[in-house]
Amino acid sequence: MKQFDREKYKAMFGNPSWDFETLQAADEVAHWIGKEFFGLDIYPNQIEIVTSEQMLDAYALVGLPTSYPHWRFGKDFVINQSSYRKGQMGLSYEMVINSDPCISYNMENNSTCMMVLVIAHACQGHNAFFKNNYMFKDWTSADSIIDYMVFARDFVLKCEEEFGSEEVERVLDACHALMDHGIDKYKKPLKLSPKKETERLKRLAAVRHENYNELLKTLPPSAQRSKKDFDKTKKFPKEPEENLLYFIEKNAPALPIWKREIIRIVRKISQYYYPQTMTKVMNEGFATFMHYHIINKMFDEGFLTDGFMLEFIKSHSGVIYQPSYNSKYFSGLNPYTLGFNIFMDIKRICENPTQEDRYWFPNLAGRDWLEEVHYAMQNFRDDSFIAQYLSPKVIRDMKLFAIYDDEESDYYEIAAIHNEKGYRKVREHLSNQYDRAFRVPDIQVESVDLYKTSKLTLIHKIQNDKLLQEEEAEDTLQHVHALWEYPVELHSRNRAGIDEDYYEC
Amino acid sequence: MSNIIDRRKNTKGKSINNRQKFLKRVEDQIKKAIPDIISQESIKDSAGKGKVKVPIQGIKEPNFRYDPRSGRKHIVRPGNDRFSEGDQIEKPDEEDGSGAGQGQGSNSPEITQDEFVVILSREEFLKYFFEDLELPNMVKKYMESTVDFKNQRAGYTRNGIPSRLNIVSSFQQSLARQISLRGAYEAKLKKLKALLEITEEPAAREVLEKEIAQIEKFMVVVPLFEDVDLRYNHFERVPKPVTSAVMFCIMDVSASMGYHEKDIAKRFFTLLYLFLTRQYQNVELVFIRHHTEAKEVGEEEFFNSRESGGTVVAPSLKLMKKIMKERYDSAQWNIYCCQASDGDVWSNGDAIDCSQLLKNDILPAIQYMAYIEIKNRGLEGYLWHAYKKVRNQGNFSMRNINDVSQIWPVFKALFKKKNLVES
Repeated sequence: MKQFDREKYKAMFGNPSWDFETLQAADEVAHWIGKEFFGLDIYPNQIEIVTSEQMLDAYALVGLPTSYPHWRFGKDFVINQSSYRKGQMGLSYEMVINSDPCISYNMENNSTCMMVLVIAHACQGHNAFFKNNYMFKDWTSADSIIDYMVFARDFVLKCEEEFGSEEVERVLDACHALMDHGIDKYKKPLKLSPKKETERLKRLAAVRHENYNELLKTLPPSAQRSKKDFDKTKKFPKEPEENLLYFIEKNAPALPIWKREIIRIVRKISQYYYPQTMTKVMNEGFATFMHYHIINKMFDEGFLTDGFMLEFIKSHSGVIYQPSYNSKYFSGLNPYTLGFNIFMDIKRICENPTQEDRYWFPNLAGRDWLEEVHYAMQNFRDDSFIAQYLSPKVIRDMKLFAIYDDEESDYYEIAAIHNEKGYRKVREHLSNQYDRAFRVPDIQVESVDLYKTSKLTLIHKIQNDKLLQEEEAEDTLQHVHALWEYPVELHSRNRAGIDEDYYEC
Repeated sequence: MSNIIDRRKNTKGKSINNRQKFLKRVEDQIKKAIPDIISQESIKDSAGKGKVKVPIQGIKEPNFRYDPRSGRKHIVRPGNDRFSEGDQIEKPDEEDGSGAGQGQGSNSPEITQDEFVVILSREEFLKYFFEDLELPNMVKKYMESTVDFKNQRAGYTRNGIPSRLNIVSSFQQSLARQISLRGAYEAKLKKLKALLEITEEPAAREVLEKEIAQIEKFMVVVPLFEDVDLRYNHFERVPKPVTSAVMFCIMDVSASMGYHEKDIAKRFFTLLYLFLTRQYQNVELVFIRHHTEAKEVGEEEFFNSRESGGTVVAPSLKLMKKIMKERYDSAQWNIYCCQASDGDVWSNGDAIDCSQLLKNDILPAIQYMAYIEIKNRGLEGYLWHAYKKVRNQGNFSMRNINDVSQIWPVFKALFKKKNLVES
């Protein structure tokens, strides 16, 4: 077992202003406790101390150290900067990204307590989550994302040089509009590798070079084409495709290669963020759960003063503050609170199950809590996590209730509250709320008219009568058109197969 | 195993490039906002930087999303304090906010505000400001560039590059060190020699003699130069020496000067101010407004309050003369004057008074005077007519302006004088 000079550390952590030795010590102790007592398996940490301005930079690029140039990042920077200056928005104490080594940004003006908290939260909690949750394991490659971003940036810069920044911007704008529809949800993506990407590009160029034959160009394009097409009398694509960016990248009739590459880049990045959006509650919940336990353990082990703990408790309760639905501070469910409560309750059910818990969670009651928490952290995402673990006690404690909102009705109806009859319903509805389909409409490529017009047909499958916002849909379709370069149409189709809305461009 | 890195010293402004791209995107809105900035901010402030409000609708980032009002959905909220299952709550009116369904469930960190503020840097602001005025590029560049520096001697420093070695000073240091070292050795030598005189015992003598020989050796090898002796010339970057200037702004505030006229006048004054701040480190502003009588006022009052009544111009020039005499000695100050008026004067006599004042008292004492007459009628007023007579004086120019883009020719004369622009 490691030996620490506890008195020295206590004095260090008790001093409100920190230096690098303090951070080193905090990291060492947090890591030791995380590993020894809570079995955390993490990537190596890279802790970066940044100023507020650098934090704003990091915000704009969602934490990535670099990205391709685009005005959207500039917009986010300007908006955040102005609301930060006005004092409307505080910057978060830290920001952490899913990479190996795991990079976290800590604000320079954090107090010592905040620094220790942040190190426990991000460098242990989030880090372990990134490394062990199945979404991140299967859908992202933490070890190569940074290199890939460098590749992406260089490629886009090169395109700007060659084809003009306006043209590149048009393509990127169009891709960004479809970012939510550039994700493989079922097929696991290949590992990212900037080296392979570069090689692939070279190979592509070589193939084109070899196959280039000036003579073939003299054939009328229609003759060339129709011959090929008559072989396939079937519908194309055979199966509907939900990854619009992928489909366009592979099948757009006349798109130059560099545009396809840019689509690919945006698609890959969108895929990289996909697990993040799907595990917000779990990720924050687990990190909060972990910092809570690590700091308390540090206190028990004699590393921390009472004063430190007071400041910690204040910050911690700030993090998990959940305003009520009718409070003026209310802005949706706080993922920190919800996640933390559920994880805490898993621990409670394991350790001190009540009669109710034995009925609801027969597999949890009486088990080893640490094992169960790890299992939960590894094998779920927000919707399934809530469906599996949201307990009646958490519903009661948070006084959750479900409202039914029907467009046709003049009234909202209370569908379920925290009572015997309502638990299951609340759980189901909350789980649905974190399902991707609740937020992102289901839009798929239906067919392409290969014979005449090359028209691309998209179908929006209407669920629960939720329609698209018309103006947005029209504008987005313009972007699809910009990429596809031939006519595109979008049908909003209900279950009966009848079009409720129709857009074309 | 963790790596802790201090990034604070890294270069800032990682987002500058993206910010520029964004500004380009909202260029139209910024351009629209420039006149507002000019009319709202004081001359000195607007010469610094500007805040531009950009409505968020101007920047579209569409995607396929649900219409929050449509369809059927369940929403889970915390903190139930009064509801039971089956309760019904009336929906708020359409106009009240954006409906209760919005926002819930979406984890996107988008800030939904109607507009936000872009703070333009001085350079950015001037870029848009000049664009309107149709300034030639060379002048734009001249005005945008910040203060020039020059290197000025500022004593000596211990560190520096070899080419800046100051030999005299270094040698002085060396001499001082040699003398002080030798002095110490000499004192010791003297003591030892005296001791040698009185010592009889051969063994002790031998020790002493050895010590004396060593010190004598030390005295010879005191080096001529050591690192501690070296002194280098030290230079400091200082702004180029500039003198002070004062700018008199004289404006007619009689009833006939409307918003449009004042806007033009203000732009004109601002431009002149910018020009002067480039030339002089310290520029003071004096605002004189007049209708039937002249008064020195603050900038706020100068542009914003409105008077009625007729116009007599001469008192304002008299006031200027008085202020010059009291506060701005023309030997120490570069005096500039610009006068904006709609050209209406009470009488011909007043106009003649003015031209006399200019010719005899003001023009000889000042650097430059510009008179702009803001109107679009073709008729020449009394004042115009009277001023025409002093036109041939080198440091006076006058123009008839009815649009901001016409301000530039007035300045052209000014720049010509400074040999900045070839005609």
